[in-house]
Amino acid sequence: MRRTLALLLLAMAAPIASAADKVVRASELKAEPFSDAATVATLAANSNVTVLAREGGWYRVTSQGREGWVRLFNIRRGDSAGGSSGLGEAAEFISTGRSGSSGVTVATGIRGLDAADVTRARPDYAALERTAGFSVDKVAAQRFARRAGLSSREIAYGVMKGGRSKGTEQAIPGVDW
Amino acid sequence: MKGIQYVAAGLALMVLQGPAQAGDLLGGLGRLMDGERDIGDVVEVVEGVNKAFAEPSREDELVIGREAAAILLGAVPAVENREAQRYVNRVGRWVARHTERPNLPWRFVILDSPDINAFAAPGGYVFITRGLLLQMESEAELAGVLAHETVHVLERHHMAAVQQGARLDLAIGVVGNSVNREQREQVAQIANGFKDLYARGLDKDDEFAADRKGVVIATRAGYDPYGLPAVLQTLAAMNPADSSLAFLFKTHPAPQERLERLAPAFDGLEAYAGELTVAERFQRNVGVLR
Repeated sequence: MRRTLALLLLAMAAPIASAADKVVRASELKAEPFSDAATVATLAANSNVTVLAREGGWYRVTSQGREGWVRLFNIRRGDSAGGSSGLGEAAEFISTGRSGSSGVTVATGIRGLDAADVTRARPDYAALERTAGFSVDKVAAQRFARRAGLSSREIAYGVMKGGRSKGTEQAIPGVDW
Repeated sequence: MKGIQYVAAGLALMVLQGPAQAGDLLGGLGRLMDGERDIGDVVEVVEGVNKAFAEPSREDELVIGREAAAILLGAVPAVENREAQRYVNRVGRWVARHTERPNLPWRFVILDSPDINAFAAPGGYVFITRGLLLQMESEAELAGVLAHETVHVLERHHMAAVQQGARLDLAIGVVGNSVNREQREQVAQIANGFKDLYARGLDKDDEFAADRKGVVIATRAGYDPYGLPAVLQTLAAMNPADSSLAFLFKTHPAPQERLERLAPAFDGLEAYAGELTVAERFQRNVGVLR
């Protein structure tokens, strides 16, 4: 009885894994989501992992019976074409009327959105006017942020070194519109 | 050309043409000084700049953006849940406060489609589908995606793409709110340019730039910088044949490529790694849409 219950609970603890999550390079499996935490093991490049949860820039994973944390950018999440939890697929079908892997679309009246929808579209100014009622002002937004304990910090775009964009990197000082 | 004349010319150009074009001309003049070019080349550069389209004004941008936004809403309606829409606007407006254009009339809209996508239109319109919203797990993830879209507005990616791609002059010359008949025709032409652009997507480089700057903007607003990367990982984990991803993948680089581009640039944000995800408020506000 207890064994059945345990198995049932295990099945319900659906990880967010897909069948093909891997580490893209040799990575350290850490005891906690910090770079100076103890190293549980070193995972070889391309090892399979099961992703369980995320905290900041770390995923909690299991790999070959060991559990620990790996940096998010070291994980390559594979697509679920190789098989995902049955519960996930069924839930997707129910909510969207579509089955991802089989490509079957059930007509439920829910609109998809593709390129043809856009090129055929006629502008809907009335709908646009209605969206004005959703917007909030800066002050309301700040109160909203405070309620969750969010606070502003000053960070220059330059911290993101290691890449170039073709546009101008600098804001035009003094121009606020 | 003596040094002082070079500087004076540069200043004059900056006043007349704006910093970016001044840069081009200064480059040309610099090469003249170095003896690489002769005066004929520089004259050609000056004429070329004068032939270039004028810079659209803020009013032009707002009129064009309004048209593009109306087209998107003509393609797919907005979700009819006021509270969910207000929530997304609160997050979006808070994020937008941390950009270089905080005073645009930023407006955020949830589109009622199960497909996964997000769009921006000039002047501060940002759209996100219900399908994409439901793939997220926290407000930090939402903030990351909205921040990415704000960069398209800040950098005027769509304006530049339509101007260059369709060879249209976007400097319509709108004054205040009124648009005359001739301008209305211009706007209609520009609108067609936007339809084509939305159908094919922006340049890859524009998307990579929006990822990079978007992550900074979301972190400035106090959110966990890994929000957007987490969304990209979620998309990477989906079946790429899923029809809800078809249009997104047609118009954007693959999630894995975007992650690979972001990774090396993330060292600078390590200091902010412990910031807030705000999952609970997100689930409360978005759960109603399931």
